Amino acid sequence: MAKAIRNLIAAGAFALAVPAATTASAQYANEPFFSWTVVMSQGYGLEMATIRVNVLDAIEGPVDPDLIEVVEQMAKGDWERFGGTLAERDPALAEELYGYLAAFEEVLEEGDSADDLIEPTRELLARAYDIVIDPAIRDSAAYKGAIIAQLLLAEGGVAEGYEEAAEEIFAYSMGWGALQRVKELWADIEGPLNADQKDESNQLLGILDALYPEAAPPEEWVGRNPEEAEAPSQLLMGLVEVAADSTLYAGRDLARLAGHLAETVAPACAMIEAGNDAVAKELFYPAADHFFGETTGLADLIELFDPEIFERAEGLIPLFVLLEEEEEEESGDAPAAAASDDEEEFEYGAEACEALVQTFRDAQALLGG
Amino acid sequence: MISTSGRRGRPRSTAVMAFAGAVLGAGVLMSTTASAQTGNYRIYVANEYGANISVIDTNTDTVIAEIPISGRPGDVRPRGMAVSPDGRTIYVSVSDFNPQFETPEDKIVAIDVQTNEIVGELRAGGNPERLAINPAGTQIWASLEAIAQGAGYDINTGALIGSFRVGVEAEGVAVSPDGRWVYVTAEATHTTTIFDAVNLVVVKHLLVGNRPRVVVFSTDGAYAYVTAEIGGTVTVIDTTSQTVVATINLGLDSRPVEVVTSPDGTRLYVAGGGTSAVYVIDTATNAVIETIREQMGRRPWGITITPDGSKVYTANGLSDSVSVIDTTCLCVIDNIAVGRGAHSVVLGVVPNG
Repeated sequence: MAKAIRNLIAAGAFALAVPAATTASAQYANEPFFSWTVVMSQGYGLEMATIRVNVLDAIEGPVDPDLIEVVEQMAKGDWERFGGTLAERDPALAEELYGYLAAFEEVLEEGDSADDLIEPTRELLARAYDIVIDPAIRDSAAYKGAIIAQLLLAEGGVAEGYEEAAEEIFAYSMGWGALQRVKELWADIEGPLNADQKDESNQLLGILDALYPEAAPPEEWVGRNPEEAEAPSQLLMGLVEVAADSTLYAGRDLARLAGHLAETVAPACAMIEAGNDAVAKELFYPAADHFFGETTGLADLIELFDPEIFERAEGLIPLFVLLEEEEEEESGDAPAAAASDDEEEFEYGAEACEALVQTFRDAQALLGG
Repeated sequence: MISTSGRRGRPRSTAVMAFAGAVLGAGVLMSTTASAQTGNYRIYVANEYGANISVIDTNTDTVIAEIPISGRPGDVRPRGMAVSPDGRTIYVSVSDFNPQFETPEDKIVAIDVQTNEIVGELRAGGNPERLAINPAGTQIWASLEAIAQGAGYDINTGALIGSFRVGVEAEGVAVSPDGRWVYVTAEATHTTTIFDAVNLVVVKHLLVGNRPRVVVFSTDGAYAYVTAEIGGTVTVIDTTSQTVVATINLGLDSRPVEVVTSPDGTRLYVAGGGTSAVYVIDTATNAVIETIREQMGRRPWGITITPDGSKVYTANGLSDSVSVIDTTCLCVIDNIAVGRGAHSVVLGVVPNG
């Protein structure tokens, strides 16, 4: 048991206990976030990049500087989720696509129109999708359901976009874009549902449509309930799980999830050692998603039970992925070093990767896994 | 883009509770257990989006009053409620729609069942979501969603008794029948925190089902039951050993929220928001003995039961209604239109009714 917890128990303040069982019995056939962990992150990057292009295309008039910040993420975090694999499989396409993605920021910050970039970028992203994601996976209901899950509930998605709009107004536009894609994917997979379930989903999508009538954010945001998109998104998720025959909440068994993150990240350490950093990065993104993600709650739970493990993870993960907070501080480069509980500092590299793997394993052990 | 800062409801470093000094104690401490068995009953429904409370007469199952909580529906919302031991006072947690911030709207209001008038209020900063009263009727405990705390207040003076850290996005709260323990659930951390209400210390955090919502005690206090919305489960906690001893599976699509025990302790009734169903559980076997779906309103969240155990009422958030269930046939016998966004439902007792 970790030091922090031992100290708390000694102080008579805390004790940790875990349940005999934390999950319902297996109800669905598929677990895409466990079976295709990295693929789902790659797909999310491709989807989000496409949505940013679509949002920019849909909003008329001069481009707001805040919208430029949203759009430019396609050449940063979105790209890093799949760029390494694309470069391995089709270097020419990777170079061309990255050139287009990066060009948006340059053109828009000069005050020029990016209209000429939109269609070619869409086409290149579609080609990249075909190369990065195995068509057999891409066309499955489980994959589409998992993409819907991310677009509904993850950062930048439908529920979060509405909630974050009070502080970052173009999060609303991203939520709109995510919703449009959700509707396309939902039409592909809703077939197995019965009439009542389809009626329910139509009503829920109608509620979301009413919240997101257009891409451009409303002129006045004050007075809106930031959580209003969450309840219909969560309810829709229940139907998405049924339609996709898939468990789409990766955090239902948190000990298992923590162990799975260790297994997901572990191969990246050797890749970094071998100099294959771009592909290695792709393994860290889903780990960061599932650790910090609100749908899993893993980071919050670890912080409550053992702050030392949480702090290690919180320090190490940003060495490998682009996080919002770092980008606010500087140009998007990863922080140079992270300190562990015993003040040992890690820099980006295989050693830090191994430390992160161990941190996830410690989290798994803490949770009884 | 991934963010580490987007995690909601993380505890702040300083306590932010403050009191308006209003007295809430009207109608409590009257030691009228008998009246709760024989009086006329009223069902109180907190309408989250309507910012009001619908009042239903259980004799006729009709709405007889609407009590405005705020003139700003859509900005201010009533959610969880609790009832004084004598049934004569309803306490309502009130907050705004932005749990990230503490606002002047964060408070607990008291409603007199006799007059249906608000008779007091208490400042409870931190977005109070649900409430519980101790058996003596002297303390009110609140889950403070925004600041990851449970907090207890003296019902008569409004003074803070104690506050303690719980998991992130505090949700359900219950006081044990002996008044010794306070249990608070937290959605984001999947935990239930056990607090010693006598010595005012946190005893432990328990990992329960995924996205826990509401916690209730068995009538004898031997067990606590915690619903888990994403987990689709009810976690059973042995209150003596303070450990999880069983997990009742309702199905991943069940989305359970509120739960109520029958007065004789033999059944649990669980509102399944995801499937518009009520699950009936035999507490002797922890098995689901019936799933009530036909004629149910949509997205039942709140649930309560009459003192004689004959009728169950659910607050249905998507159909803005209350379903009435006959516990003999385990069937819906009525649906009553109420206000917008029916969230929680409790039962009050009209004195001399």
